[in-house]
Amino acid sequence: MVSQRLIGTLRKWEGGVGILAGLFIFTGLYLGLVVSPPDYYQGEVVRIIYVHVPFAKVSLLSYTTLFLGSCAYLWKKDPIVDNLCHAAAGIGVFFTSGALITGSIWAKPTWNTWWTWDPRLVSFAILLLILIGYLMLRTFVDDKRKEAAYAAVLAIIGFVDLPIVYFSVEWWRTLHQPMSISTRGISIAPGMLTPLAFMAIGISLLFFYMLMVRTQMLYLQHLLEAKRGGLLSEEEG
Amino acid sequence: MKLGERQSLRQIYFRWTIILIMVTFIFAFAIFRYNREVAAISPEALLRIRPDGMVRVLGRVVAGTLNKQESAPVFVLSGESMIDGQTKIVVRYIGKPDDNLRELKLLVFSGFFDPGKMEFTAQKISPVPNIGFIASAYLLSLLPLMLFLFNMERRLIQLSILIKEEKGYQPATDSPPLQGEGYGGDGLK
Repeated sequence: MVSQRLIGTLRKWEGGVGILAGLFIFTGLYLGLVVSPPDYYQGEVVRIIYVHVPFAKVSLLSYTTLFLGSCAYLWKKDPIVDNLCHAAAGIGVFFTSGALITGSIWAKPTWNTWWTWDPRLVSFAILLLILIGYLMLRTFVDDKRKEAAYAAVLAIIGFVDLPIVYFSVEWWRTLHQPMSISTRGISIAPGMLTPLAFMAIGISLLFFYMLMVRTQMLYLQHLLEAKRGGLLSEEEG
Repeated sequence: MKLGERQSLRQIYFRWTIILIMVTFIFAFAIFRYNREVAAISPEALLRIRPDGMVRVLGRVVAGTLNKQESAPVFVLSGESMIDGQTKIVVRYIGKPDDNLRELKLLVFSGFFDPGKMEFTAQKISPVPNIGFIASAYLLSLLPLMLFLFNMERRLIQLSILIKEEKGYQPATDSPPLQGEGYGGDGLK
């Protein structure tokens, strides 16, 4: 059974990925909060970058996982893939909200406002609404197969927002700064790049760890529901 | 999946205790660094304490007082808030030219205070630390993250235990799927 094998693989890699994520995050936090220099103009407040950027990157990573998983589900109809998509959406809501909150906190001392109708911010908020909509849709449908199929279609349609989020700072003149790391080069000091890289890798690994844990959690939840349903029908019979 | 091999809740609590200790250590280092390298006093506190060594003073450059004509810019620094805003000290900046030095701007000046001349000689300028924003960003992102993850791990263990306790469970990996395990099964309809 593909599902059994996939769950076995997730269990096998789960511990290693979790430990690695922890090591990267602890090192990144230490470097970011204690060692890295302050910014010339922003001063100490630039340290928010070490949580805000990794959270934002992982939001996009979680939606990309959701999109790829949804395509795979519509193709193979494997329920464990649907569990993976459901898990990615839940984690995605968490990281997208985190990125918006930390971004808002950073915006106040630098832009002197908590929120502005900037294309990057608006497209990111739309991403959060799409993810919330995805999770809400899953609660409205009783038939599990239909629920999974509808949710997959919504996730695929919602993917259109991702390039808008990513390229918004290039396509429009925005208040949000352009990408610090792009094909044009790296416009960030090495002293800040190192903790940022550690945190970005650590939070990405943590996302994969969380995905493994949550996928198993949803799988077991469905298994338990199925078993209880089976036992009930046996008793009724 | 071999559910019998699942980690116990005790292991989860032990692991999270270590994580919390490590996070506390990192935040303690950060607070120590803040007190040593970033924390600043107000002009009012400077006049009251009159420290001998190097000190950091947080204040606003009073409008119309910045004189960049001299070899070292001279200006008057006032307190940040309405309460200590009345206290004013003369500052002479002898450090490298800095774009941040502008009138009405709130800045941190590192240097020495001369009580005889009642003048502060600044060697370095830094922007306002905004430590409250940094602390809230980290707390509002990392604390929920830890709670979310802890809750997920605990739930996974609890579900494993619940399934193990259910009657008729066959944990063999090569066995056919349980009724309703796949969405094609009847159990989930």
